[in-house]
Amino acid sequence: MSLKNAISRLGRVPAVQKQFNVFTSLNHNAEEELKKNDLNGQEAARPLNNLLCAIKDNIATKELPTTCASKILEDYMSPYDATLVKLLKAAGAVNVGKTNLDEFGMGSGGTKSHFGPTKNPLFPGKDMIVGGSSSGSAAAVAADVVDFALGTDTGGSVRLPASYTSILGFKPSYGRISRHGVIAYAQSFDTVGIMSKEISTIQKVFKVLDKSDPKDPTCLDESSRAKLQTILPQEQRSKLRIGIPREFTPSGIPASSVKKFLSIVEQLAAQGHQFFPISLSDIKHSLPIYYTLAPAEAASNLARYDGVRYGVRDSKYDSHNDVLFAPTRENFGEEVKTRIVLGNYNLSSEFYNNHYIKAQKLRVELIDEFDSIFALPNILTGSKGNENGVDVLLSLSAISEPTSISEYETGDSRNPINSYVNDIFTTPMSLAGLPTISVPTGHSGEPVGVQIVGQYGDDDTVLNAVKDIW
Amino acid sequence: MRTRVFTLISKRGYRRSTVGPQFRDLAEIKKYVATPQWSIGDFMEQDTNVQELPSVETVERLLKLSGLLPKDVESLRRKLGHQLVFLDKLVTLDVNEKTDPKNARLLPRNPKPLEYDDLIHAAQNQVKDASLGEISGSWDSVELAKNSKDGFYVLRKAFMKRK
Repeated sequence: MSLKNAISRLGRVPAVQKQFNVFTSLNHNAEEELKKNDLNGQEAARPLNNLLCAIKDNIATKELPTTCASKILEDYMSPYDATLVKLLKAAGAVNVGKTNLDEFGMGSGGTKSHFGPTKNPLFPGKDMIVGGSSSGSAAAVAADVVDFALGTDTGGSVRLPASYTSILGFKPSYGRISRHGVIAYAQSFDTVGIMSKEISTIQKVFKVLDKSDPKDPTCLDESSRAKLQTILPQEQRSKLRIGIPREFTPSGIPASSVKKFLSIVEQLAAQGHQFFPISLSDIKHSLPIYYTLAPAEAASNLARYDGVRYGVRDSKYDSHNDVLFAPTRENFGEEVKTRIVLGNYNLSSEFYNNHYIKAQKLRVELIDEFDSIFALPNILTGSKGNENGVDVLLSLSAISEPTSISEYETGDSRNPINSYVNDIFTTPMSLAGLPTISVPTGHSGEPVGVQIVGQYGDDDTVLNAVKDIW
Repeated sequence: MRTRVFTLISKRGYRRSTVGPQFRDLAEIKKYVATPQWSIGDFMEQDTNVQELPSVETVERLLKLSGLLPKDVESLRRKLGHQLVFLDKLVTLDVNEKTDPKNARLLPRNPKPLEYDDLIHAAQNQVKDASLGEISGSWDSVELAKNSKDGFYVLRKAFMKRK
């Protein structure tokens, strides 16, 4: 990417913002920063020089507000940069702005933002959903104003919008990228993801961000990373053993999506890759497991927003009817409030064992099921790997193509499960922390993606496999 | 008792994952994909199945626990009712009672036990990290607060009555 090209892209940002509502705030010094990087003459030494990026607005930045697209943080300025923001700056990338999202990452349409819905650049003038929650990050890439964008993926929030905008959306293994400075929604799932149109860009950015961080105790430490190196294949496998999970081919998927999925299978088979039927019976229970655990973690994480120490505070009262901080917490959006209430239901003493603990146990069994079908060992669980197992799994990323914003909102208001179902193909990998990438099924802007999934830690195999499709 | 749906997804036993024999050709894969085991629609057709909503008292108690105003209770009852029918699927599933729920964390399951000497070593080798704001005399706890007085946070008319 040349400096001239980067500056030209910056010039398109205002029009794109007006049309698709991509950003929550813009870096007005971006051009200056690009030129300064160029003058420093460090192009060769810095792997991301002249690359423009966008950062999801739930990742802390010192120089731009960090709002989580919530009224409750609408004027919040973080006193520090997230670890990954520092790493990107050091590598030469220039941030164009913070991107819109479903408030605190809670949503799959990109419609639940205090700043209004993001619109899908694939359908100009049609008000179609981008998918969420990393809606602005996906739209920024799709509209070609950045080279890559960072999102966060809790239950599919990078992969779903990637599928709906026909771009690549990579969720690495949980713990490979530091979460220090990433505002928690559900900390046992939250994973920083990378979106781009170029797999080589995703690989470069991942190399920069894939570092241990003592500031994040869930980030893989050096000894685990060393252990990982001992089990990973030393050379890229030219012929992969690919599993197709039976549970990922339910009825109700549009025939056009199934056709595109099969065309990718055909493409891969023609290159000599081998296909195997897989059964992972627990996969279809992933949604209720996920929607038991994630809101419980969210209820705990969002308890901190009381307005006393930072953020928006009610101008008159700190309590209402003996409910402390209720006037300030009224500034949460409806979806966030609903998930907090559900989370507290799951954590309350009457339901804790039947819901929360049961979901935790089912999550463990799902992880073990994944272990039993992969050839590679799992350094976290101690699984030795299945010698007859597969290298990667292949499935669709989403159950359908994007709908209009009004249709999405109508379905959601009738029954929240209608929108939760969008995550059905993405939550199993989030529960197990597996590396996954959504890849478009064609180069003509088809909003249908397929998902490549690898064993925990085998991110490189997942990324390398993209080259056989895209 | 709320009505439970999901008749399609029968009770499960644990460890049922399998890797089958390699597909012989594309035709076999097409046939496999065209033979679904369940339907997306089964998750989405619950509108009429919520026969009993959580009580007003339950919803009001949850709102209070959540630090939220007791408003729109009826709307929340309906939403929560749908969500709970959906989540109650878990109650019908078998689970191995010996499964340790702590392993749900995506961390090494068998880490090296922390010993006394490790703690002493860590304490003796602590260093200030300026990037975490660990700079002597620099901490201003009320710096980001909207309302503070003499270095203290201010709470307005919020004396809780313990009931």
